[in-house]
Amino acid sequence: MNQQQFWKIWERFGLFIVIIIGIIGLSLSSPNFATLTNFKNFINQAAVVAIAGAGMTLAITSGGFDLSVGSVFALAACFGAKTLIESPVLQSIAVSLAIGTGIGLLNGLIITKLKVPTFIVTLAMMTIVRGAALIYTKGRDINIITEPAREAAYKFFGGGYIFSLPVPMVLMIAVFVVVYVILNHTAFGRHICAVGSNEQAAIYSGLNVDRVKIAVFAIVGLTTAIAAVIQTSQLMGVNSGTSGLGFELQVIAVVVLGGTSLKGGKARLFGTMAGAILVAIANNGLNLHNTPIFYQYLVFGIILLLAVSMDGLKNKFYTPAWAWAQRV
Amino acid sequence: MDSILQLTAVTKVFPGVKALDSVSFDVAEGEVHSLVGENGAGKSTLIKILGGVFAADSGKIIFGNKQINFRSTHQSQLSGISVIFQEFNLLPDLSVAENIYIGREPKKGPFIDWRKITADSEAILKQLGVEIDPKTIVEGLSVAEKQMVEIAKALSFKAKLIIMDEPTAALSEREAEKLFEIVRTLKLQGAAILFVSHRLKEVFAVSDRITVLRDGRFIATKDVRQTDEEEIIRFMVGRDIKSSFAKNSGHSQAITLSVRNLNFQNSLKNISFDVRRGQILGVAGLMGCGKTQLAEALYGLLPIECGEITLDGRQTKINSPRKAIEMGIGFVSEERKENGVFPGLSVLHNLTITIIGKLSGRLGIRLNFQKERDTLTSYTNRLDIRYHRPQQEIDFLSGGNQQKVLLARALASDCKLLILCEPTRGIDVGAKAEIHSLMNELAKKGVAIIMISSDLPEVISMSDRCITMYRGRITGYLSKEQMTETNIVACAVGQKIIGSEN
Repeated sequence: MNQQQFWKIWERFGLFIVIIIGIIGLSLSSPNFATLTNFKNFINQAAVVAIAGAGMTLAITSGGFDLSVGSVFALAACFGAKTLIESPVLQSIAVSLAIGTGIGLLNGLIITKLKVPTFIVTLAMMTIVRGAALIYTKGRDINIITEPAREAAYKFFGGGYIFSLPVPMVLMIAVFVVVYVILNHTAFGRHICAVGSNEQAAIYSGLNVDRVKIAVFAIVGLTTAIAAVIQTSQLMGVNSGTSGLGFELQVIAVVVLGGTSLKGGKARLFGTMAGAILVAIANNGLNLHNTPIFYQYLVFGIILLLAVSMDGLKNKFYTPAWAWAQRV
Repeated sequence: MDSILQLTAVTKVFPGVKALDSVSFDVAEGEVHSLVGENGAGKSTLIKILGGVFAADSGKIIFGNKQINFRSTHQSQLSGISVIFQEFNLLPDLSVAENIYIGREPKKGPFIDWRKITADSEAILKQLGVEIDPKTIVEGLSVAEKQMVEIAKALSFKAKLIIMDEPTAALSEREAEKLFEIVRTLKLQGAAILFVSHRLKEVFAVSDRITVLRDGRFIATKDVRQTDEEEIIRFMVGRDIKSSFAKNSGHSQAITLSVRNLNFQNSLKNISFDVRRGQILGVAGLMGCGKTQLAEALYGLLPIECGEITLDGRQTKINSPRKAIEMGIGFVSEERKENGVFPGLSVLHNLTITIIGKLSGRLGIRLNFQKERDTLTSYTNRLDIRYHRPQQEIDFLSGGNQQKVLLARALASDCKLLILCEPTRGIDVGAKAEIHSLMNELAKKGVAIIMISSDLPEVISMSDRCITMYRGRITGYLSKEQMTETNIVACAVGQKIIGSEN
């Protein structure tokens, strides 16, 4: 295999190969890895990040990103949990999703209509929404204690099974199918790529750039809220101060790990899912080997750096000669 | 008089173009020497060589009494040449004084000597007769004032030769008048000035001698007292090309677009003209004359202040490209990279982006991929676009093929009026001919075409009718018979006014 072939294969399957190597390695080194309970553990963890990652993939493809998802995650969880104590399950979920989507819409509106840079808007929203969550809960934990039937019904979203598949996994697949259809089978998806590739040209081509961006941020908010419902259902409680802390960076990192270009225009949707699974496997492996949880940060950062470096190397060695001729 | 600058057989070749071909002339001490020529005549290249941006390939340049061959802009400045480019090199957040002395601030120990820097700047500005407080932040200054700061900076280097590249392009007439006064002051103080401009009136008002370049070659140096505008225009154009025989000029056809009294800031003033079905209307003019703004205004990219636009007999307001496309206006920008191509996206997606919204089924999902492919195939055949496969990224196509994709994108949304800005700039001869024949074919089918071009032979051979612009106004409405290079250039430099639109 020469270098060209190597990078070509790496570009397509690199992440999947690494995941398979990880699974084989952990199966051999730890007897508890290849068990059903453990599989459920890490797939649940992966699903939460991957679902928000699906929305973030769209945002990054459109040339933006959203730093407020961690705080939105917390606020959607807090409102959902509090609502659940008093009201039916569906109402609680509706509240969570509405909050996520609403804040996403607001992000999009401020970015497009007031022409404030994405970085500033979502950074400000990150602290505003976190503050709102803390005020709303007065900084206290919310433990979901309510009618047993309702509790059981809510637990289904984080811990139930559909055809013996964990519900978070089913939800993850559903979200990815929907986002895949949006990206590849709708005009909206094409418009997202166009805006991310060259916003000026998108305007000249008569696209409604503002509407595309607003919709994308609304979707990021919605997927974040779905992730928040799943985790709240797993924990049956929420802490407004720590819930979703650092989640935005995890989600952005997973998207980048999956191969979506930060320059915009090109999505690698299933790469995002693979990235989330890889990170979950790594964390799971560390847990199984009784490594202190602090090491997860370290390993996560190293994986990210390695992945991005591989990409840099690929671009250096695997650029067709005729591509260079154009870049003068 | 002794010459301060002497060029002998200076040549510069870029891949595929001989930008300067053995150019020789001289600039005398204390003279204002103008350099004129059409776009692409080699003026910019020459300035950049003198400013130390490029090195000449061959030839001899003597400045002062020394032969020079600058390796950097810094060397050029130190030796006493200052170039004031059209885009200023000022740092907007710093004060006027800091900008004048940037990189060589007078110091007191390790600290900047603020008192001296301010006093020195003040002295220079006074010498120019300009009233600007050296402590003002540059960002707040007008274009004219920024230019004065650039000139002050040149003086602070004790420049013996000041080169001004199109200094009046962005100035109002009053500001330009002020600039000429300063030029005369500088001359009295002993500096030589090389004044580069398209505008012959100014050139004649300010200079002692004029040098004409054409296609990278030296044509003539003339004393202003021994020549006139007519002669200089003849030198600039050179070729004695008779306009080719008239095609179907479409005079009997219905009017597609009618524009009356269109205004936008300083760049469009009382623009009125008609384009008919099947007519190709050429728009000529020099850089900064407003022809690009005209195209952008018609495509909804500029907020027009007043004026009427009537499309197919109905008065309309076009306030966005989306609206323009809906109304049947297609547009190809002159900035292919900035405003046209979607890098990283495939040829297919690049071509169909404007019509993709119409290719989706119920609920907006299920794009009609078959129809999308058919669209691509039909334009590929019609325009002879060359690529490996539809999924290939557009980045890897040649400039000519990218341009064809953009043209196809504009056509795909079924336009009745097509606005093309510099449709063949920077593409090879073959693609150029294909684009021209496509334009003729479209015109035959009844599409009205507005072609904005700096390429005079292109304007003359393609247009059925042509308008010329000068400083935001239309100065010429030329019929096929009147379309000679001499007439177009005369109108484009504001020397002549021909015709009108009723």
